[in-house]
Amino acid sequence: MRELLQLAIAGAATGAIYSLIASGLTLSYTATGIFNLAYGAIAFCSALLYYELNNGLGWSIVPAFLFVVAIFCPLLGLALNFAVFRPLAKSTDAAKIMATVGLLVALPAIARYIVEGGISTFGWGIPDAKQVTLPAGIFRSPASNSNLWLDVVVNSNQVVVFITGAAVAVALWVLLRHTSLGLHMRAVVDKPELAAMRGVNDGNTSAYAWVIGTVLAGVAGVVGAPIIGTLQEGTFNLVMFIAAAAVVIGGLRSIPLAFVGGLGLGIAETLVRRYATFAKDINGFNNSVPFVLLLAGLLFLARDRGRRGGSVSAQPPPVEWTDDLPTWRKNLPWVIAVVLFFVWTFVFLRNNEAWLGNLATGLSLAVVFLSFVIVTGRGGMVSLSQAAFVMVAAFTAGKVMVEHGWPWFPALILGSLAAMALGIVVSLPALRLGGLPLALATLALGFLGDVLLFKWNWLRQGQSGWKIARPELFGINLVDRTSMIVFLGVVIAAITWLIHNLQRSASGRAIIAVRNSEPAAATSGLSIPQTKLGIFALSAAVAGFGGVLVATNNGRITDGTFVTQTGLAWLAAVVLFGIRKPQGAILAGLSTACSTTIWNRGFHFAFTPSFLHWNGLGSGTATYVGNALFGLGAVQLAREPDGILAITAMQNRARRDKRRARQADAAAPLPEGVVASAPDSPAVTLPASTASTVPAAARTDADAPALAALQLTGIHSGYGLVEVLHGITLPVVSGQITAILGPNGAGKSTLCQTIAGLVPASAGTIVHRGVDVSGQRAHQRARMGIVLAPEARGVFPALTVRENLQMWLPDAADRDDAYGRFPILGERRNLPAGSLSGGEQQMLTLAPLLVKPPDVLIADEPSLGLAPLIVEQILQIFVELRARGVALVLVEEKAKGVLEIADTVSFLSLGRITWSGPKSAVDDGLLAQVYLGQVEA
Amino acid sequence: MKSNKTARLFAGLLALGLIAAACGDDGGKKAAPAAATGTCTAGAPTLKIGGLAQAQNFAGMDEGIKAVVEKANKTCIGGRKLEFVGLKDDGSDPAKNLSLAQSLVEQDKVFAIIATSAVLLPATTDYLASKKVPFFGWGFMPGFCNSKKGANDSWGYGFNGCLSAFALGLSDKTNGSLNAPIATVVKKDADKLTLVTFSSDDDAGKFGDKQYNALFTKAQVVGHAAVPTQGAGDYTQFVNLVKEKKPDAVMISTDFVSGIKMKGALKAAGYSGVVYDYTTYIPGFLEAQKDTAAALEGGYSETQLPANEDNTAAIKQITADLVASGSKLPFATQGASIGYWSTELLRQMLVATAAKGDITADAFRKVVEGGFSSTQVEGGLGVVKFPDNHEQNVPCSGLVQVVGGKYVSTVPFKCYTLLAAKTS
Repeated sequence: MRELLQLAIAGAATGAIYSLIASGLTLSYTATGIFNLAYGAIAFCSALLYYELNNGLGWSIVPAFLFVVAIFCPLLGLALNFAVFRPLAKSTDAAKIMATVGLLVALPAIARYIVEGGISTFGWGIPDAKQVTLPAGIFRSPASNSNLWLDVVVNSNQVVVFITGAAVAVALWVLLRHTSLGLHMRAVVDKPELAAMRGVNDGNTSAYAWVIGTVLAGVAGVVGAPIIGTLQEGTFNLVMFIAAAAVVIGGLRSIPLAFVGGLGLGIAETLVRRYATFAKDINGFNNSVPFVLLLAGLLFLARDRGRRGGSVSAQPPPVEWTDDLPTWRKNLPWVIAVVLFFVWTFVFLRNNEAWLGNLATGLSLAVVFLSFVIVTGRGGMVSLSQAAFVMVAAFTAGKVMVEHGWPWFPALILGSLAAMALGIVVSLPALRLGGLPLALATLALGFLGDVLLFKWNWLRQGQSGWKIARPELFGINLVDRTSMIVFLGVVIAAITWLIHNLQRSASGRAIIAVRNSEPAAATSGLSIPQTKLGIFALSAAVAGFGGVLVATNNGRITDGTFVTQTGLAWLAAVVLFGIRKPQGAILAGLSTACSTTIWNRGFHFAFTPSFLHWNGLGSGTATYVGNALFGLGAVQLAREPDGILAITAMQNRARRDKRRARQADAAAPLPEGVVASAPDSPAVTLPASTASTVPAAARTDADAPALAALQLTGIHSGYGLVEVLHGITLPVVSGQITAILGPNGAGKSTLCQTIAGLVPASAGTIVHRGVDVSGQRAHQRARMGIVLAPEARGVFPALTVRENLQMWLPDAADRDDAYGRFPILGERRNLPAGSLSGGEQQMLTLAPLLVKPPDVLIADEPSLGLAPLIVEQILQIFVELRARGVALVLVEEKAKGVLEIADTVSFLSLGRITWSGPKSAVDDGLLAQVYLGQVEA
Repeated sequence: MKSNKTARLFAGLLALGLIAAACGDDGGKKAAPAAATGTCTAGAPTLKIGGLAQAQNFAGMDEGIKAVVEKANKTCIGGRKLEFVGLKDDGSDPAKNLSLAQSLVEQDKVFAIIATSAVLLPATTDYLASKKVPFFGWGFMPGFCNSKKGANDSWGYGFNGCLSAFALGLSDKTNGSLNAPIATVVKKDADKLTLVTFSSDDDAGKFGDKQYNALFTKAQVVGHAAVPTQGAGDYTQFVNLVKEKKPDAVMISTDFVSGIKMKGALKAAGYSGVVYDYTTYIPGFLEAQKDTAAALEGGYSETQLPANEDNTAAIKQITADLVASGSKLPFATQGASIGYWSTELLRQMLVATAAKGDITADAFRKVVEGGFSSTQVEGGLGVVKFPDNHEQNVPCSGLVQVVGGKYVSTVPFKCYTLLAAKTS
């Protein structure tokens, strides 16, 4: 019993490092919405810098610590925010995860490159930090030891970690729950556009969040380095992945729970190691504890988070930049590339064994990478365990070939099936998870594979593994490298065709449906679990198939060849080139295989002067440069989540469009003021003064611009290639309700978002009380008093009712007013807003605006989905606001309710205002004409 | 646009590489007439030597290799010079290790490779064997051993033979140098001293256990535990075990970092008995890191390479050769020693081959496998014989202790005998 207690205390002391990391990682996630897988890498870079300053340059502890934590980390955080994460804010979970994976690979490489490059090129007198153990922390070095209790010895570094962890946890908890900065950060993560519309400068909060997150990672690195025991990036990353279990125990939200979870993790590790003697002969059992806890935590996390009122936002599909080309023209560059490739291989490279080998390796990797295209590119799910599928297939194939004498091809099929089975096992627990939890679950399972499954000697044949001899297939001996290349080319072609057909088939449509909107897919009769399972199974099978090919190419499969962290580097490579298309996978495979050689050896041409030779970068630096380039990949990802191929396609498309526009202008000059309306031409910038479409007869005195609170003139706006509003001129007057009616597709939401500043106008001006606000962003307009109550309620579902009110009413007295007016909100003040009914959410949206009325209020379909009684109440709120002088714009599809309270009415149809006038001029006949599309300018 | 630059960079590099591969030099091998050792034949093709290692762990290895190469080139071997084409870093990645080996063989056309890496896996060593490229280094990986007794299929030449011979079942004798030195310190017979042993909780640990368990009877090992290698492990339970069993010596055969932490934990708990390991003698290590030096203070470390502190003829030789080749190393690092002694073994084998005719891969293999014995320097590595040492290790070691933050030579490097394995 004494020993149990003693070990529990010792375990908690050790677990403090996990708590410190978990608190910071939780803050980083709640404040930015991105689970920073590169947290360990940032910690490593900070620890390395501290070591070089403190140990290498002899700086004393305080200046070195402050430099790292107060100068380096904030700058790094700002740089990451600006270059990578701000642009990714509106992107998918998958893109964010992939960006952090790129940084995880790149940051340590860059740091080491700087250190070692400095030593070798500039002769810096600093240690190269290649073999550092027990680096000094921020307290005594060497550390002093003391007997804590029950003979548990703790050293001063452990005490420092514990105290730092506790202090950080408390400070972060206060920050998140009790400061307005914390509230704003959480609001931005929950619904960034809504936060902007409530005056939060999401650029600033994002910067704060990343600076704080990076500083915390830096603190964890510097303070934790002596506990981690070594300055190796792999070790730092692994400790971070283990600490992720504590983050998950905290529900990805709660810092105190994450702190406690970290201690618990340390205790669990220690106690299992001591008492689970039954598992002594199971290789790797002890090492698997944190990942089992991570997985268990994730599965518990998949609780329903409460209903979400209103519609669920779907991911917009990627733009197909080559839509304008005929099929043959689309594929031509690739066909040419393939032909060139084979000609090159057979004619010029036939005697160059080394390069043929590289190409064969590259193509076999490409097959594995095609599995990423399936699960992430098409399925939209991030899988971080592909390396495990590769290994299980190769081991299975090797085992049956060597031990049971199976021929190669059946072994290949069996290996793929084994991988598929593992894929199903991997996806089963994760079926109800999405986005980040799913990715983390695959990560946990990948690690479990590394430490447990692939240590099972029955499967892996000890440390020597299985030899896989190259077969002879259909009379062609694959020992010959050129034959291997041809064979791999055929395989890749087949799988590419499969992927292509998958997209066109019913299954493919199911995949897209599930990816875009699960509720919609479910109500269309699709089984979400089945579809997801199918994607995982197929992707795993392809990865396994590729795995056997890779092992065949290498000649052998041994434990440790492909671990989870290898899989992360693979993912980064495919993302760099473009994960949605098979071409991206192929280029990534070739690049990965050839880059080692190119970086290490450079290249030499015969018959050329020596200055054109490049000897590569020499041993150490070569590794770093290759990895550092993934950092560029992450930065580039921020600009175009679909990779290099998409950027190139986009630029080509822009060129083609420009050429077409020039040709069109040359062919038929247009009369002034008329918009060229070719259906698939992009938005053409028009001169600002397009003729107003409001009939002169309909103008009333009240429309005189001088009195308008808000004046839109000639507004054009849209999304990407599609222009939605084709010249809107609209005055909005204080103390009046302007109703805008129109059928679906008229552009109502676009109009609302353009006024609010979420969608930039491509032409025209918006003037607010004489000030041109066209260039102002959403949060600036909100602060000037232009507020949007958006479609599907303007509430933050993850924040409580009270916190929602706080976003507009920081004073408690104001909030009490709101509770007084709407007692139901008072009753529910500590519940998350996402659990309120639709009507309650709409009240929550409008209540604060009653207490502190804005200057201009735009409401986008305020009565959508609400019961008639509630709609009445809502309309009364608008009447009250009008009486207080607010300029109101109510945009509705359903005319009935809003017509009763409107002062002026405009009709919006296909992006133009087709009629405008006082309410008195509206009758049923006019309504019918408008909705049936018969009114003309 | 940055992104486009990345695209162009990658695509361009790929294309250039492919073009270069197609148009590049072939550099064929031409056989030269044998010349007497001692004179260099003008225009004779060089014997290329490549390096392949976890550069981070074995810093200085390239300098050790260079030292031997420069010395050998003063007199040439068979009229030919040695050419070191550089040390390639595999970054602890097995795939890179294989890929770099392939490029060394196929593009650099090396004759031999100096290779020491924990990821020098069978895929690479099989490949090198298939291409008849001998490799030299610290033989702790299976590639330095035959695949089974009598198979004679290993092309790996460890400077102290095949270290995992017993664990692989190739030999029924164990390495007597692993326990003899510590018996001296404890002042008891190697058969009588009691131990608590710690190994890593992973493959390498379990593999090593076989070896170490054969050195002692079951009665001698009064306690054993597997130490965690990942995470921020706690060592309290292991300290408890040692305190409870009170052995003559504590043996730590874990990975490097865990070994240091383990020693530190014992020290922190006030344990003052004999603690030794096999990995923590690394020249230059203690001066740089105070916490590590404190953790190791008073502990012992066995070394499979002569310790610089021995100051024997062998140490004088390697130091002199490093200086002569222009190395800026302040002392022979562990990596430099590995590189030096491995290349020295290669050099001796090349000399033996040249004495019988042209140096080709086949001639080399025939001479070396036909009963080659290396020459020992006083205080240096033990005599290595092939083909025997493809299935056996060379039982030589030294013992150092950390005293006052410095290594002190306790038992100078010397050779012991192979022992029959203890089975009970």
